[in-house]
Amino acid sequence: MSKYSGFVAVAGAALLFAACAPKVERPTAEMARATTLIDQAEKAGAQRYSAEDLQRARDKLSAADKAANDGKGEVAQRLASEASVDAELAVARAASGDAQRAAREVSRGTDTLQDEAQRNSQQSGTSTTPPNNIP
Amino acid sequence: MKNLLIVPLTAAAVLCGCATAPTHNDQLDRAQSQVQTLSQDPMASQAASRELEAARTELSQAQTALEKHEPADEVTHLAYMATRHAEIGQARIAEMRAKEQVSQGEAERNRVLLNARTQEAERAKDQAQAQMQEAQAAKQEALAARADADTMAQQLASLRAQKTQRGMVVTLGDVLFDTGAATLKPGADLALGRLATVLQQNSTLRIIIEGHTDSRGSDAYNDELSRRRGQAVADALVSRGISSSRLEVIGRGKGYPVATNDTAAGRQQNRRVEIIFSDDSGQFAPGAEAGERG
Repeated sequence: MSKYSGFVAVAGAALLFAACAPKVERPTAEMARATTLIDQAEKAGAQRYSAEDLQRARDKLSAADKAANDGKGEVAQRLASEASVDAELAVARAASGDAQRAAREVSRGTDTLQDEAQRNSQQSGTSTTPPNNIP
Repeated sequence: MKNLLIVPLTAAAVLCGCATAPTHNDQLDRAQSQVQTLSQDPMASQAASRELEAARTELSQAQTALEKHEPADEVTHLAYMATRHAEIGQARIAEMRAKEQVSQGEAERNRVLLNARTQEAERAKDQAQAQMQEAQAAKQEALAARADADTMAQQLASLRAQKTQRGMVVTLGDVLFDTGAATLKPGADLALGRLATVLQQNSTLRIIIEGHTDSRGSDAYNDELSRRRGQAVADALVSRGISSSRLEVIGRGKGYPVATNDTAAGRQQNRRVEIIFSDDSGQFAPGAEAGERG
């Protein structure tokens, strides 16, 4: 609500000075998008994999809010866009971090299994074909 | 960070006015480098085509803005967006690579597991086969042993052997010999042939051949006659391939009648050769050689 009243104030001011100042708007849609993406990044575990990107997104979103409150619509628009893209990067890096961790675990598991199989086959005196299909 | 960059650039723009165009922007350099890295990745079109397209558009917008002398913060903003989109694209590719590794790893894992199970199954099969063969061999051995025992028992039965304290005893009547003689009649062939066969088929078997007479005549005469009759049987067996070491001949004379000597029929029963069989390990029952009667 306070954001909304801020928006009304800025819009009012914009109307008042329409003749002599460039029209400025609060980038509501972009800020909402950034908020959603930051939320998504937090849920995806960005704090763990890309804390820096996540923090940058938060900082820029609040800077956008401040700029919008100050009537700097264009700056607010840029900051909100950058907050969105930062949050999006945080989400992407979290997803990739998860996948890489899973890949390492699978690889470790396979190595263990292979060692075990090797030992078993050596015990029984038969041999396994060595793994050669990993590029 | 960004502000530090914008301030001098803005200051530069203000100082120079529009006379000289700013031809350089650090963020633009970074954007160019990141977009290039992304576009050179062979997986970019597959995993990050949207991000690459966005980054390229923003990069060219930033370059245009720089060329058109637009405010430095607009150039920087566009370049920043291009940089970040390129980085998002790189993260998407890294994610896809990792996921491919996961599925490859799982496939490899399954292959190793399958391999291990196959080997285990083969080992189990080999083991089961070995056990089955062993069991079959044991069964066959048991069957053969029983067959051996059966044949021996059957063979002895066909000789009309009787179970006594001295062991299995077969009595050959005096019809094998002429009266007073120790020469085997041709009719003895059948009985001796059967006896030889039993001995051939049971190589551990040994026999005692006991000659007996009726009470007529002197002891010395009867002892000698009974011994010669036993020996005639032994000779016949040796001529059929039986080792003499398995045969023991004893002349019992007239001392062990099985019937009365007062009648012709009784005396005929007393004139006989008895074959006493050892067990299948070649051992005679206790008392067999001493001629004890039960």
